Amino acid sequence: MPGRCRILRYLTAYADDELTGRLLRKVEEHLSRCEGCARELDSIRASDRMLRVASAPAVSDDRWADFHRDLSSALDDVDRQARKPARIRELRPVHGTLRRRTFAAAGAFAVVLAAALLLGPASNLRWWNGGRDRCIVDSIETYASGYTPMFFSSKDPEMTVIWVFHEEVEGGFGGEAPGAR
Amino acid sequence: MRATAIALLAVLLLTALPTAPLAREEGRTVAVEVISIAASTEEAEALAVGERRSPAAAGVAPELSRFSKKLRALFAYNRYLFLSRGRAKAELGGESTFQLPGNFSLEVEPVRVDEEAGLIEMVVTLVRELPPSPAAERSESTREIILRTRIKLGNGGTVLLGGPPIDGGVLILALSAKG
Repeated sequence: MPGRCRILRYLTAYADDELTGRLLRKVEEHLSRCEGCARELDSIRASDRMLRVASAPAVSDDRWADFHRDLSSALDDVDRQARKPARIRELRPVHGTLRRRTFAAAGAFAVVLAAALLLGPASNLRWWNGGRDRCIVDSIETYASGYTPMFFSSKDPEMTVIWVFHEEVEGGFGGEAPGAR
Repeated sequence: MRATAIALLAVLLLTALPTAPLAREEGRTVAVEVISIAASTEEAEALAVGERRSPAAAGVAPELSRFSKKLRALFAYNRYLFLSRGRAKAELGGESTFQLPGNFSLEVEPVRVDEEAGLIEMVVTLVRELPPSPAAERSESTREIILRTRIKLGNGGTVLLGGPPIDGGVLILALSAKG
């Protein structure tokens, strides 16, 4: 089922001979057993062939010059329409009302910012709540004899440790080990 | 008053923006750093350069100062020797190989970056190259996969991998990734 194959994202690069190494082997191996992806690759290659045959429309230098002039003119028109006369406020002494308004605005700004950081979506930001060292271990395996893999996560300090025990190394995790607390 | 309201609205919008997934995966690279450490229970005398340091720092090489607290809290070893540091940028789906002491190497393949969860999914393989040995009837060097793990690590975070014996101690790797 090509719609679900992860390899789909690499098919265009594969058709353009841009893949190398392990990824190239993975894609080739997948294509040998997935008819859907093989059909998709054929379709990509057919599109490539059509694009190579079709030639780009010729545009004369004069036409390009006109195009640039027309575009600049149109943008200038948009700018002119957007411009509005600026309002000039009446000048007042810098105390009394203006100062109170400034403090009120600054206070409101600080309250909204604090609320957004503590309660809003910003509380999920990594720089805010830390947790960079969290790690989800999906799988661990070993193909070497004498090794046993395991992992553990500590809360304080926050850290995940993925460990392979070897029979040569004395002790282990679990208290009496030299290697772990 | 209207300007203040607009400013407040802008602040709310800006604080909400970073949680939205922004990055595209195609062609994205992940910066990977691998620091290798030899841990042992030997007497902490002279470390890498033999300089005098405070009792609190004794036993942990200065290059490992940022891990010092975590290493001491997690393990019961009393000597941590800095061996090497490697950095590379790997494309998603690509692989970076870090050569390590003791014929070990670490292959890191970033699979995807989950922008919303702030996680980088990676396949990490620790390999040991066994040299040719007539006694063991090996005419060519062979690769032994010591550990293969699939993890999702916090973006910019570090995970510790370790365990294989190396020169009287064990090898510990601090793997960090940022995408």
